[in-house]
Amino acid sequence: MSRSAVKILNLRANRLVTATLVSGVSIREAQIAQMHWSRALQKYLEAIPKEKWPEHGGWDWEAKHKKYGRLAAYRFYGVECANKMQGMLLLSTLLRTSRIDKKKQIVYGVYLASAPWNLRLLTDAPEYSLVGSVLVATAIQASHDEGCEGRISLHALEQSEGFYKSCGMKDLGVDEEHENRLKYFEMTTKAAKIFLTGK
Amino acid sequence: MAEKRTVMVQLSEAEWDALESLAEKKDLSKVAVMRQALRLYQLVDVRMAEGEKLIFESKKSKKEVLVL
Repeated sequence: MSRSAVKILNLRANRLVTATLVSGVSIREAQIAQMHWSRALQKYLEAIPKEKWPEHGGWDWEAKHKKYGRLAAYRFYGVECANKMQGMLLLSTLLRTSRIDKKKQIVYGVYLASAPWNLRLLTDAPEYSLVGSVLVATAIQASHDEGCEGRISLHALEQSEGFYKSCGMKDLGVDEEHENRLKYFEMTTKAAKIFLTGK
Repeated sequence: MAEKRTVMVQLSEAEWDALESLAEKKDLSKVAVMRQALRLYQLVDVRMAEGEKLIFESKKSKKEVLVL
């Protein structure tokens, strides 16, 4: 496990603050995050109509950690700030073949989510922004570490498609073989570079 | 980056050929291929130990073949 400093935006103070990127979230950290997120989510869900509920609201990060955390192919990352996990990512380093360039391998994002209090879907006054972007940047870095030159892929929930497009990921349409028929997205090496450096 | 340990491996000619071929085909380093093999082996081993089966399905015939 390692920890490094990253910047996220505190929306209430309107300034960048230092957060901690946790590489290798422990089961204990996942349990605590799940407890915080479940409590917060419950509070928000009581106040909003069901059609606005986040699609990933049912994800149980503790259960995911128990399933995947013991396997070398999977890595859990978290962004921690103000003593709470602000977002988490589960990455698969069991490389797949890119659908854009079939000669190249690609890292796959299994799950990525921000904490409920950071979701505009749930609140008009979210606490932090850029959490998802930090996690996408983390996936790109992991891709470089794996020799995949920044290429990443994932299946996006409908509510998150806009975010991944804004990151520069290419929408390759509905994946008929995916169990939930989600859209499949890939980020090329070039798009990853633009995402990280702006050019 | 997490701490890394070094291991030396001696391979037979057939294993070396397989490693070279996979590295070239997947455009990965030989070390990356070895890492992939280990991750996949562990994944298969853990899931099979829990009573699951490994099955391949042909895209053309949809016929399933039990591998392990």
